[in-house]
Amino acid sequence: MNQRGLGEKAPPVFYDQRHSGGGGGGGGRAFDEVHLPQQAGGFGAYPAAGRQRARRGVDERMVLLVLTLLAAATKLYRIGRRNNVSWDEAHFGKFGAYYLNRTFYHDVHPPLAKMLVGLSELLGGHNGTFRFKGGETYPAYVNYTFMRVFNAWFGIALTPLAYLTCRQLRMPAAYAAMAALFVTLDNAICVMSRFILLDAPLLAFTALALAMLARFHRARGQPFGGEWWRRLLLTGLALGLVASAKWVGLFAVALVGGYTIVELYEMYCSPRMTLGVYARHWAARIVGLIVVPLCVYALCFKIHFAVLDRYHSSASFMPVGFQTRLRGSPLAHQPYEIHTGSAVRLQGSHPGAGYLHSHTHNYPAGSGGQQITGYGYADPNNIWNIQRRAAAGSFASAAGVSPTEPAIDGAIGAGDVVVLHHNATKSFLYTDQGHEAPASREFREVSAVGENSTEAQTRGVLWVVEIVGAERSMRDGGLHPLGTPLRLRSAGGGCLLLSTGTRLDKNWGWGQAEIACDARGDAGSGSRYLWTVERHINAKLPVANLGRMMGSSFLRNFGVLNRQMWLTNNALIPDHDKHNVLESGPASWPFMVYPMRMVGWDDAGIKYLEIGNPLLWWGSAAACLVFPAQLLFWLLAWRRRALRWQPGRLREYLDGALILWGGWALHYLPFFLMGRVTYLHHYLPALYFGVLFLAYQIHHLSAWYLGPRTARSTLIAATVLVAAAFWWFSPLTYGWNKPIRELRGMEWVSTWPVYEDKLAL
Amino acid sequence: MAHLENMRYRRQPGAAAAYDDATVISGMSPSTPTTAVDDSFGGGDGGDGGGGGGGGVAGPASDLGYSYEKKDLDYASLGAAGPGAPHGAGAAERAPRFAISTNQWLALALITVLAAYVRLWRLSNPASVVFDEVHFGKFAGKYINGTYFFDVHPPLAKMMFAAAGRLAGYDGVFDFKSIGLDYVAAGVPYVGMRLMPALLGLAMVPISYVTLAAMGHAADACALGALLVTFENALLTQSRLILLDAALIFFTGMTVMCWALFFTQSQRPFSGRWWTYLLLTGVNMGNALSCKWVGLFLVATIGVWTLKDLWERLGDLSVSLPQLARHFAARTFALIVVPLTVYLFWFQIHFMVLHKSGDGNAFMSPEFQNSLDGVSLGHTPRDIYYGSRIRLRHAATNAGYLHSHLSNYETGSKQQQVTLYGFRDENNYWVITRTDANEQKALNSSDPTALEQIKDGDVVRLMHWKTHRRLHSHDQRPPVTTNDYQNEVSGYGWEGFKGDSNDHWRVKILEGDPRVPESKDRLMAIHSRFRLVHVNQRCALFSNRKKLPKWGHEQTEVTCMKSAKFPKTIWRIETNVNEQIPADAPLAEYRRLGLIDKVLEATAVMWRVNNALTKSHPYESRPHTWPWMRRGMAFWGEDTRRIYFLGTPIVWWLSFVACAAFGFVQVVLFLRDRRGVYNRLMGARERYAESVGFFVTGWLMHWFPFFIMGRQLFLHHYLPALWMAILGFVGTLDLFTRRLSRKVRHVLLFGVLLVTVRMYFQYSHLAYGTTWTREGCMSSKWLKAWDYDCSRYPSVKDAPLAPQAPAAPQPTAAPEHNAPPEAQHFDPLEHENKLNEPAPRIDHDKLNSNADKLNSEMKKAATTTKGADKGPVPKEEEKDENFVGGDAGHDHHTIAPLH
Repeated sequence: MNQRGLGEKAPPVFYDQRHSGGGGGGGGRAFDEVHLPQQAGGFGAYPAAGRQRARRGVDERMVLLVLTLLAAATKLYRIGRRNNVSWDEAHFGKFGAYYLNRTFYHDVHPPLAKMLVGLSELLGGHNGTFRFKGGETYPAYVNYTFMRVFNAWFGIALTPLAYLTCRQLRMPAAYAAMAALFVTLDNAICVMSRFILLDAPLLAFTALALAMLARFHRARGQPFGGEWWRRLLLTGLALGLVASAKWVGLFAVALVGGYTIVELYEMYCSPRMTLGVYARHWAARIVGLIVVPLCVYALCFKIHFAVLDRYHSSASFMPVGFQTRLRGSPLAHQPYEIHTGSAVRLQGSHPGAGYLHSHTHNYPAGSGGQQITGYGYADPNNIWNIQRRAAAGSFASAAGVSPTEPAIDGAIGAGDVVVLHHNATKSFLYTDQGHEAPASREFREVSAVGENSTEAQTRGVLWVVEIVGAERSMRDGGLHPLGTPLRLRSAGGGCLLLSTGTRLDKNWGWGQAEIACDARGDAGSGSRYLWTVERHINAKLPVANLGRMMGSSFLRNFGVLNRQMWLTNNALIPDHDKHNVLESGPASWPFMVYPMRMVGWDDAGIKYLEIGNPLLWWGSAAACLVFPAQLLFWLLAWRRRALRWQPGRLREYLDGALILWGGWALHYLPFFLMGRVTYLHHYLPALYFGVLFLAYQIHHLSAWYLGPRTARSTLIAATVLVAAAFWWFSPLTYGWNKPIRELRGMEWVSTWPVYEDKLAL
Repeated sequence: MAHLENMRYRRQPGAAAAYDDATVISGMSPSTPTTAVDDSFGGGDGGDGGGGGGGGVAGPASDLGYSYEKKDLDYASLGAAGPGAPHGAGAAERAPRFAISTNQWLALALITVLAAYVRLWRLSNPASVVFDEVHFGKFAGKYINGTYFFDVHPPLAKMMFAAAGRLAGYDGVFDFKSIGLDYVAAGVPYVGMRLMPALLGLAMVPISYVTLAAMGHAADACALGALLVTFENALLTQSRLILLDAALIFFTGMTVMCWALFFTQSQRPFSGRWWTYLLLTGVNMGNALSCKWVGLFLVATIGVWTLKDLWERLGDLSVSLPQLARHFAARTFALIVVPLTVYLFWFQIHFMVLHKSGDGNAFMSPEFQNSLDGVSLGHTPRDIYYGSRIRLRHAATNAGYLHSHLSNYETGSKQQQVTLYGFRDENNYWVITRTDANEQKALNSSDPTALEQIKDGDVVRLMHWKTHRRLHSHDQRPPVTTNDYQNEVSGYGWEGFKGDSNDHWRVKILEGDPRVPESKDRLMAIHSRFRLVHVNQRCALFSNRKKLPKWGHEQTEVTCMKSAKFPKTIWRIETNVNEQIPADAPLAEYRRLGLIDKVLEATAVMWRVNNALTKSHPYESRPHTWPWMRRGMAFWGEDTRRIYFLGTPIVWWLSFVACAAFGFVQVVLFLRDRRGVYNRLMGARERYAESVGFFVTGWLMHWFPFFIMGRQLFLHHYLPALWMAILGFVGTLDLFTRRLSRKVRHVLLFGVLLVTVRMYFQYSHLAYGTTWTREGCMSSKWLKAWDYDCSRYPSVKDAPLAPQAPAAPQPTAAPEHNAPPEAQHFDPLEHENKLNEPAPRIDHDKLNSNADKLNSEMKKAATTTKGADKGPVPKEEEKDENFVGGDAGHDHHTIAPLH
């Protein structure tokens, strides 16, 4: 056996190689004597990789089973007790229900975890009609208990995953069990696993990714073997899952990415590495860690789109091709040919351009004429009456077209000269290029002129229709709704109508988008110039089903939706002058300054507090915050050549420590850079890493500095204390339905809102 | 960790000889593998762990990789060891002392004379205000007058202008109000003031020379560096005007020069010279920091290099730990304590000179204002009783006092406005009274007239003294801030109206004054910091620097915010008037501030205002456009002359290329080292890393941080980085032409110089503001965005010999489609002033024509208001007329109760 006795320590090795020339070198003694034992002890030192499997077969399965059962007990105990829609069940229950009633919705999170909620509703027999209003009592036909149990299993899975991870990181079974117990006995993880929320799946996928990474790490000695490939691909799969649950999962991707970069760098430095093998390593990782996760992520959206096929107005930011294909889309049924006299609503293709709009307000400067703006919401002022004046064929030959000529009946197509008549204000879209645009000086102003004004008799009201990049099915030269993006070129001066991307002043322009005309010679490329007839009304014409004609590309829809998620996410900005009892800043998380009330706090109600196990939170914070100092100290000692380790031992310790600590740092520090609102449970993934790191450090410090008996006592004491703290706070985790004052001794820190809301006025 | 094990590849034959520790290294290597690294790659054979046996001489020492190839580097001619030489005690004897030869001094003197001609030529042109002289000339005047002002930059450079102005005879009267104002007519000794930055700019020439020499560069390269700096038009333009950058760059250069000289002494640590150069580095760094905060980038540069140096010493086992500790302590003292002291020192002078009240008051806390002559705030009876007439100051913003006046909101409830107003007038007075119920209780008590002090938690009402409206809030959205958790605050009621429960406010004292502990429990003027919490709506009286529209006289909005965080809901009572208080009642006064308090406060305000400078400017630019000088800045223009800030292109471009190349080369070298291939770069590798590496670090540190800055940025922010880049370029050129024949090398150096001088002449018209030809101007526009206006220059064809002729307007066919904006005066404080300064002043005497009340009030408050009303001049008198509406006595207002 490779094992040594419990905690058998090697004699300390002092670095005593003194050298001359330093002058007063003796003074450096304290620093020069840093050493660490060469041989770690503990409950059976590091098992060799091969032997481990055999040993786990005998007793570790039982350990795992017991731990998992215990986790199940803590997560499932009285899980259906509160029969109201609790906390964010109002959101996620509702989102899950959309997958049953198949209505399109928009949310900031990727779909996987919500689809799992939907699955639990499906299995629980819900028909998709319950709306999950916050605080409402669940009706009989919603099996909320089943849904919560389904979700809780993700929380339960954390325990065996934590155990396996620790074993892969070469922790002895006893310490791995301790780590698993730590994860089981955190009140915050427990309470967040007991409701229909996204946190439990996110945590489970994060833990899965970590476990897979640890397994892959152990396999690095046999590259390109079957087992190696299996572990690599599983890591990629786990990354795909975690990123599809919430974007916080990208931090797990960053962890694996960082690990991979270090690994590839080390291979590069290895003198035995040949270029061919090295290239294969790169290729394998690109496939396993980039392509596979991306495919998983995209697949989730593919399913998302496939299931949600009913129209809802929240789809309005999606490409029109996507919208028209939704069942019940109001866009799908419109007259196909646009004729003189049709009323149209023109939508700018540029993000944020809105609909071409005019209203009875004038520009404060420039021509002082009536404003033309882009407005994002449906409004009668967005309706324009389009009239064909002549078929110009080309812009040059439009010279012969007179503005006073009567309108020509019939369909409008590319190259036709039209006027756009604003119904609400009886005016025409006009530019004479004589003034600078109100906000963007490089463009010309566009305005609306009255029907009977002298300007309406000039060529400034004439516009040439140019069709650019029409849908395949609509390429017949005619102008059609949705499928034929157009540019409008002034017949008067040749400039192109565009949405400049700038907002007008709030005081006179209502913060709407600026519309102008681009007279520069090279104008015309880019979405700023493109407009689409988004709505077409003409009672004389038959209605066609455009949904069949519009193409819809998955990649485009996927891209647009992700972009919108990003924008929505960034728009969640808090008011820095306002206290929000639910929000908390990242600086306060590791110290658990502001636990959060999840439900109303009236005496008779069942009250849940999102509070963690203080020993674990504070312990992991201490371990994680001290670690950089430890590294720095070692670095300095190494520089003085005063660090003595048995070959490989330091490396082995650091590999595990850096994976766990790096996971904590990557899941925690980026929150400081985020402008959006943050909540206490955003810390939970980091906490998972932190708790494992705490166990890891306890193991190593015991092995280095404690005798076997003390080490064992420490392990037992730590576990018992954590369990006691869990039990102490469990009333707030499992619900307290009596007046809160009857529950004593819960306010360990004065900021905790257990008894009173500290921030209320 | 793998790079540790690969250190062995970096060690070269020859290095060991120069290195004392060679025996130690070899002594420990064969038997005990020293690396901590387990080489577990490459098929899982663990057999090679420990760095590959005897060959694996590893460990930090070899990381230094010192190799002095004197033949290659030609140090003998320079006599310079340069930084990065071995630190061992024994090295001192062997390392030659750094010295500059007599010939070099002569050459330097010649170059400096030449540079003096180039830099000082026609310093008096133009004789009118150029660009930001608007600010810095004005500030110099304020120092001469001693009136307090506020600026976003620390004081040193501005004080230097004040001193120069004082010496030249500037009396502080001329106000530098706008670009183009004539100096001569106003009799301003502007040439004397411009001479100061010009001389500092000139000093950069010898500074560059000495810096390069101290970094171990050859004499011809030093001369080239000094000449490139001489003929660099951007440095030239910026140092001929009353602008801060010349002083900043001068102190930056001094710091770098002293730092380089300090490294020439690294074999003689703690010697006299060593200390001198180290302390001078610290002093100059403090000066740079006291000119502009960009000096912080310099601190970062020196800091990085200090850490690198200490790291190398740490690995040198011949340096004992106590010695290391001394090194560390010396640097901490000289590079942290000394600069901070210098910074404080200049601020002390700043506060001593600016001792009079001025237009900077409005930015500062009342405590600060009290330290100025002519301001006397506070000195008011301390205890607040029911019936006291008080003035409430908003603590967080210094935006003024809680205020109301006879005009109504045009939104929401349309009730009387409640605002913050920066001036002290009688419309700031509020009478603090009991609620009706409490009033009844007091009347029924044994002594109804007894004074009752207000305690923490009391519910009170505040009645506006002049208009008898009560401070009121309700579920209406405020006019500007429209969040649903904000309520409008209004004045509501009329004389005789009993009021309603929406007038009830609870006094919650958050913080007392440690000097008067009772002020935590009982409301006291000045000492107590408290919130006013609306009882019904559970919101707190709040303000956040939001301006009301014109109908609100552009005063600051006051709202009532639910769940507000503390700072912006804190109020203090500044004035307390109560006839019933005995004359000998205790008074309250503001705390006296020490220097540190004042500097901290000024720094905090500078930081806030600096970050708020986000308004766009026609000539602002983002940092990524700087190195290739995408676009210059129009400083000034008149007839056929204009000043346009534009560098000498070749210098900008080559210096940027050199810096980028350094980064690229280092990455390649690093990657090759890892594979065991050691390139020596023609023997120049170490010097390249030490010298050019330092300049590139400085360049990066002075350039990169701008990317994360949100405020408006200008091309001249790149100048300190540019100077570093120029030295980096010259260093590169020097090191990599040493192996060439003397002839080729000199052809190269001269070539660079000639092209530079050629371009200097080409663009000098824009730098000196002299006239040019239209053709010459047009042909010099190499980049599209260089938007100086050529159309006003006389064409060669039109009037070859008559520069005074073409005053007639040019044909309208302007060459550019969009004519660039002419030189624009931009006031960086304008935006912030609008937020911070008092609103346009309203003549409330007209509004409330009760002269008797006013007089008695003025007498009462005479002690407290003395001098404080000397705020900025009213901006627009006619606004007051609009407000008063000609006939608007307050009787004319119909009072329509809404509740």
